[in-house]
Amino acid sequence: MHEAVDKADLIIAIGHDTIEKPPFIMGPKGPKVIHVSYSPANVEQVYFPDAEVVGDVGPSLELLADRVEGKLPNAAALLSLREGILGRITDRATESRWPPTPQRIVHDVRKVIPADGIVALDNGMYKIWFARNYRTFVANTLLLDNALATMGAGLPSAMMASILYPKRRVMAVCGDGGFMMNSQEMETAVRLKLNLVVLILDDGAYGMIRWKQAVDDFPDFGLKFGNPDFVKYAESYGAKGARVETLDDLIPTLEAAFTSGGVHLIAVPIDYSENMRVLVDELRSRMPAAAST
Amino acid sequence: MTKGSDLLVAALEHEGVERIFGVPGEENLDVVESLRNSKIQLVLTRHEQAAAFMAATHGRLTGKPGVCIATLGPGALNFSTGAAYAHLGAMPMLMITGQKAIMSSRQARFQIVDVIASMKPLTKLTRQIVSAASIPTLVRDAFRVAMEERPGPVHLELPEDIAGEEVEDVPMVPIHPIEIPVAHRAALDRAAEIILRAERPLIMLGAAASRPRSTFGLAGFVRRTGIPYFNTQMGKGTVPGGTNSTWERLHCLSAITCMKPSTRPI
Repeated sequence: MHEAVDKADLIIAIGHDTIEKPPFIMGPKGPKVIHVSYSPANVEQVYFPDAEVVGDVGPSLELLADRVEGKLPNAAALLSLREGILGRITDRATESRWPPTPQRIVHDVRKVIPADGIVALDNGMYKIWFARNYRTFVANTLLLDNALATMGAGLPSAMMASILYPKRRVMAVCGDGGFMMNSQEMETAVRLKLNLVVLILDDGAYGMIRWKQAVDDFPDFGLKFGNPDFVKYAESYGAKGARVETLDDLIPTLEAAFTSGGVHLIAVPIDYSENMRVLVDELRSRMPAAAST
Repeated sequence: MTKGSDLLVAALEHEGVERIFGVPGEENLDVVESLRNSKIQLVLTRHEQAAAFMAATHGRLTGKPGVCIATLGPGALNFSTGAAYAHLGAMPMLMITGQKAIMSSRQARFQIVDVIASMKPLTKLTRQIVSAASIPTLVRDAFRVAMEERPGPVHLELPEDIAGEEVEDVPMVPIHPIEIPVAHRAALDRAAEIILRAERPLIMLGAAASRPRSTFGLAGFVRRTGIPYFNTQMGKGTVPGGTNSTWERLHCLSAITCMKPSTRPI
């Protein structure tokens, strides 16, 4: 995606809020940016739009479309990049390595969640993989927090979604670190008789920090921990627990949990060695010019 | 005659609140009693932080503030992370916390923390309620502030003596819809001129595109301009229709990862 941003000469940023990590970096050479939102843009070192359309977003966009519709011969200039981008997203999505890659887990989760189903993420390494690879079809069906980026909100936010939309499939995806920060709410979820599946990606560590430690060439130190037996832990709350032991079991275990209803805790190990290959090495090789920024 | 906590709960019902999440303490007992006699469900959580995350997510998904309740000091401070979550994430939420009596002080400084001050950098508005008669107005204003762009958390502190204070009945403040103004013609003309000159345009859908009120108009803009789009992490899914419209699918490039194109992630 950085490729497309890099080639664009204009970005129409609709509803951008600079609390999110910069999705692109503006510099003296461009790109030009039009900010469309409810309120004027914050001025940042990396975001200082050339023009602003401030007001109710929907109706304002209608009026803007009235002015340009049918007069944009270059509109689809960057569309040709689409295939390459989607190709990279589906890369290794069906690889049968054990423990599974993040790509495979995202792929399998998407298989069991219908278009209107909701996945609520805690914060951890997998957030980047879901943001990158999980395709969404309806607004607010991937609840992730790229603002405070706190750990511990995955389970409570999924519980709220389950209360509001009892007929939709709702899944919390948490790391073992983030889950344990508010795991006591399993009792609340059981007491409220929610239908909810909690998927724990078990790497026995504060994995994202451990990864950053490695990227920064620090020795592996101080970020590993032990875990409870998640199956027994679930059962002690009156929830149902399962541990996925083979790749072929992941989809059937998730599917069975949704079908039977109630609160389910499902633990699966995860192989984070893909982090370095895709998020650092590949990005670097595709974007040599940007690598020095 | 009516008491402060009854006015608070009536004001919340007036706003359409269906549930309150939290962990009550001794200083909230009048409010708990008023809730018992109301249509609002009290949903106990096992930690105040989870209650705040749930209330914030209610705001995020519905556009209407979720409400959570905690006691003074330790309970209120456990709301802090949830308050920051809602504040940075632009999620409307109302936090209600208790406090020792303010008209007398029989327990000296026991458990007293300046919660209003602690909430200042984490909220759009934080107020101590100093008279029962002011409750309907304060609640209405708190909801207005929480929902208004840019949405976020607000906080009201209800001391236990004000919660128990008996006053003459106070009417609720009527609620009316507020429409947000549409962009100025000059701004639209200027933006159109830039778009018409672009050779390689892209649309980016960001966090505010995910607001429940926003989805209207986004897909239409993408379709009518034919410009490819991508999402930030928090803007994912904002152009709907992927299930039955191949057009949107074809024009969606991808959600970007939040990695700076640099040698190391930021």
